[in-house]
Amino acid sequence: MAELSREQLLHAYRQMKTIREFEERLHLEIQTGEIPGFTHLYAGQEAVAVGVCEHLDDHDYIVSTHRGHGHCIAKGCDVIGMMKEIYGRADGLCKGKGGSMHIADFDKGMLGANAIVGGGPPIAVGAAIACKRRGQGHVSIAFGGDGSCNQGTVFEAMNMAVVLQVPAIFVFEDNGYSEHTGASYAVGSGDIAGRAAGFGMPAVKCDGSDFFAVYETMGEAIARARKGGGPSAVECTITRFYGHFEGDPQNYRAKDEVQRFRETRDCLKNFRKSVEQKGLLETADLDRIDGEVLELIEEAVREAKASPPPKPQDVLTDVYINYA
Amino acid sequence: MPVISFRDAVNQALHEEMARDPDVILLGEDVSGGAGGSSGTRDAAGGIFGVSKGLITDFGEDRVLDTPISESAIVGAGAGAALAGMRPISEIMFADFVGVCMDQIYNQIAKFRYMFGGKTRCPIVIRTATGAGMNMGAQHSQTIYNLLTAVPGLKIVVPSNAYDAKGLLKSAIRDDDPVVFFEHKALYPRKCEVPEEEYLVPIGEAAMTREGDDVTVVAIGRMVVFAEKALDKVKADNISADLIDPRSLSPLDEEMIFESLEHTGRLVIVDESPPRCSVASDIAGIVASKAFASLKAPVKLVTAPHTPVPFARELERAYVPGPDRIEAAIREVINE
Amino acid sequence: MSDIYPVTVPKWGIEMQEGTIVGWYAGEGDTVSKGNDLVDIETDKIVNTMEVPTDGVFVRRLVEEGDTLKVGELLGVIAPAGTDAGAIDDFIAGFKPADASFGYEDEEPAPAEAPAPAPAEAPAAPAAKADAGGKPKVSPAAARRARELDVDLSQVQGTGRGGRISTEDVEAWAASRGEDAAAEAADFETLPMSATRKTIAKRLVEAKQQIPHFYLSMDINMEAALARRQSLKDSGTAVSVNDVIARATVLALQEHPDMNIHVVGDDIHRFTDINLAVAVATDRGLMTPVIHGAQSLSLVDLSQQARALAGRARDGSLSREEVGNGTFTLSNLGMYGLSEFTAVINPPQGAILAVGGLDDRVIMREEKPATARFLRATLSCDHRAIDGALGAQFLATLKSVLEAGDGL
Repeated sequence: MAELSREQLLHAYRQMKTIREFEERLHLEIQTGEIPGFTHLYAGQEAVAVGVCEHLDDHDYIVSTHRGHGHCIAKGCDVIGMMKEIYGRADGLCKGKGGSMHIADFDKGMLGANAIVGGGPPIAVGAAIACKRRGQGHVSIAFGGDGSCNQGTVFEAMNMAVVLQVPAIFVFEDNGYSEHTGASYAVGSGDIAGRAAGFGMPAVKCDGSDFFAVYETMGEAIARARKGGGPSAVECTITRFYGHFEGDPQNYRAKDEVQRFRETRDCLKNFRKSVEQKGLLETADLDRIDGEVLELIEEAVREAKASPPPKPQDVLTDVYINYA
Repeated sequence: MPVISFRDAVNQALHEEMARDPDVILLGEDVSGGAGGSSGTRDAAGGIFGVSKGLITDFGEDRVLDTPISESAIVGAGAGAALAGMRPISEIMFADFVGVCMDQIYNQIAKFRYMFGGKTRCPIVIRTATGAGMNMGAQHSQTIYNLLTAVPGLKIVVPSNAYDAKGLLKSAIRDDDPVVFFEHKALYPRKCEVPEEEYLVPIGEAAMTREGDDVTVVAIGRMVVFAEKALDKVKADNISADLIDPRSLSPLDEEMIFESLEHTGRLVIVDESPPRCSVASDIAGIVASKAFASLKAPVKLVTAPHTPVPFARELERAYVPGPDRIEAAIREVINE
Repeated sequence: MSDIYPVTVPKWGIEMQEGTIVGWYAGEGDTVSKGNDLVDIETDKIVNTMEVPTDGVFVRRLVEEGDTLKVGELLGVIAPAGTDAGAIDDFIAGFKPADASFGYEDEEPAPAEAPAPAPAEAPAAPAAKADAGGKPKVSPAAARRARELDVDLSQVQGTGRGGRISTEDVEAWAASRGEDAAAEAADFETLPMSATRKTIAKRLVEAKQQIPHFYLSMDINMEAALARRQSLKDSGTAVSVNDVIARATVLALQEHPDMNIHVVGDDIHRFTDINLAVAVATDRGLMTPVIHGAQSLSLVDLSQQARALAGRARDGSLSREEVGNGTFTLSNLGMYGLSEFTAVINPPQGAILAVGGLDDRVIMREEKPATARFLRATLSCDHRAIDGALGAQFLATLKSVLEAGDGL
């Protein structure tokens, strides 16, 4: 187990719990019909987002996917601003212009959730070019799923990262399904890390439901990149508790699959068990965090519901910086 | 004043802007050329049309990046570098290849500022070689600029001469919005006077290169050259025209076109693209809805036919609108 | 937050607008647990099972099998055991479903506050035609040229159809404007301007037209500065009076970096390097070669560079880098006996310092009359970027630096 201080452990737990409760609450609120459009929930995958982002600061970059709430929270984005954006409010993180699939916070190095599968990795390579030029040891993380690993843009991005030797790390979250099709069907070789290795970068697998495994594996990859050792890939096996999108009846999943995963592969449960057994953290501390997180989410929903919507004339703003 | 080619003007603009700002980088296929070659020479090409010659010598290989053939990665990486504070120039070797990386251009770059609530900027320039006239065949000769003019969030620039090319490219690189910069490949060797002192040409401002009374001719890119030839011919019959080179297609200097039409009342638009959803038809539509009162005759569009670009010389000549067709259109619109 | 929980028709997927009840798993009055099955609902695509959203008692079941409702409408109510029935009735009465529609099927007209968005484009038809007695008919290119040449279009004769003014007309008028003035004098010789002079002329016109100049003067007692110069001379290093003034200028600019600027559009570019342009008279006209990074140069080094640049200016061998990027200009006409003069700012710089010649004056020193050599420095400032107080402070620092003498 990697060496983490008590503060780091508490922070990691808080981040994962915040993501979990954010998503669980959204699952309920979406059903009221008040939240427009598509939402894709990250519940179940928290250990990956947090295991990666606990190594990063505001000057490191991440590019996310359509299932981006987890990455966003883990990178330090304002939870209330995120909720407002998902509700489409004028004071959301993107002024209501982006919504769930386009959440971003550039001050925190979060270069946006991307609704195009495979659209993010080339952008992450570009941010890595900037990191390399600046020479301050910063890195750029490209998140993707078992779906994106079949998209040509991702192959191009990986090859480009190796050719230009930039500090980009490709994190593939294999949650078993890309939309309604299983990874076991769609990923021809059955081995995502193997593909990345084929492009000439170190590529490893790890158990995405174990925060400590993710943290340690990422630590190695990020340290290598910071020292100028070039790109790597990490394939994390994980599961998502909800459908591809909210409203997905998940007919492609056996009825008890999610139930089973919630019992055996819940990263929060696993984390708790680990730290409590090893005496690293007290149950009371964790329970306190649980309470604080629920309050934060409650506040976020309350504020989002009370926030004003954008005005119709806002449709015209921010297309350009200036347009003669 | 020095007389230099369009190619050299673009090369100068690249040199000057890269010298001026260390955040300007160039990415593309063979922008220097020779990487991994057995001769060991870098700058073996300086771009497939020689436009980026000498840049790697002056600025090094971490600012002039030869890339694999990966348009999505070339443009996407440019996008990411721009979001991270650099001022990248991503080159798409031929405008026809825009199809390969279309998502990065119209779904990502064009929309970043808007989707993210105005909280970021993407100051990328995408340079690409456009146009027919050199028998390069259907997949290496298209204009394409109409597809991107339609996309909100992009600025589209199509210079017709070396002076404008240099001034507009410098403006594009300094512009904080994304700009797609179309260089007509048949114009690369064309020369004109280009001052040595620094100058910029503003994006969004058209140029009126001739003034007259009888007709307004709006011509895009290489068509400006042919329009001038056509106007030289009709001068003998006392026909004179306002010749407008829009220079930027987005934003479009509509005002100059309207003012000119107030005087002439007749409009000929020359565009090397097929007619459906072309910039020519777009301008005609704008004029019809906003300046109809000025028109004394229907708008005349001189465009390529609704076909891919053919290969054989005779066929390509029939495809590209030449001075004869422009002259005929001018005479027709005056007699209507 | 109220503990009464509304059970509404859920929105499953972006297109769902309504659902039909297919079968209930709980009856009114049943205790229900979060996560258990509650009701099967059919939409036009699927039948799906809605789960109990919260623990409690299913106190009201409002719809039955076969009923069809819109997304967001109330199906029932869950409340903690023992909740007052009246409160539940009030809740149901006051409940408003969330609007999950896309809005187009509404029959009401668009709300009054939604304005027609005004695109940021040029107005439709241009302004008044000339034949209405308004402004003259002019081609767009000619209008632009007229602005460049500062030509009043109402004075220009148009030769195009309908009296339309062309670029040629504007240029011809501008040229004749010069000729008319000369026509008064009887015999004259026409000396066409060289390229250099034309460039100088164009830039000066621009500077005078576009920059709001204001001027500040300061009389400076040069005795201490001249003493410093003398002591250098005595130890074998010759520096000119202008070099001393240049050095003092650099020191003053370091104290007041807001004077070391370019004015560029709506921005002020404030530079860390001081690139001092020093005016040199040559027979091709006034040149202003630039000493780059003058802040790092001692008086002696500054003097060497200034001398070298002036030499190259006079024999026309200055390179482009040597005349570019100046951040402040110093101009000295003292050698011609001028007591003072005002200079035109070199855009895009923010200011220029003009110094006259040394002038013996009578002053009081220790209550007795004495003489001292003074010079008058006149600072021209661009009022868009520099205020009177800043200019005055700069001059005050310049004065104190020169009058202290030893820091130079």
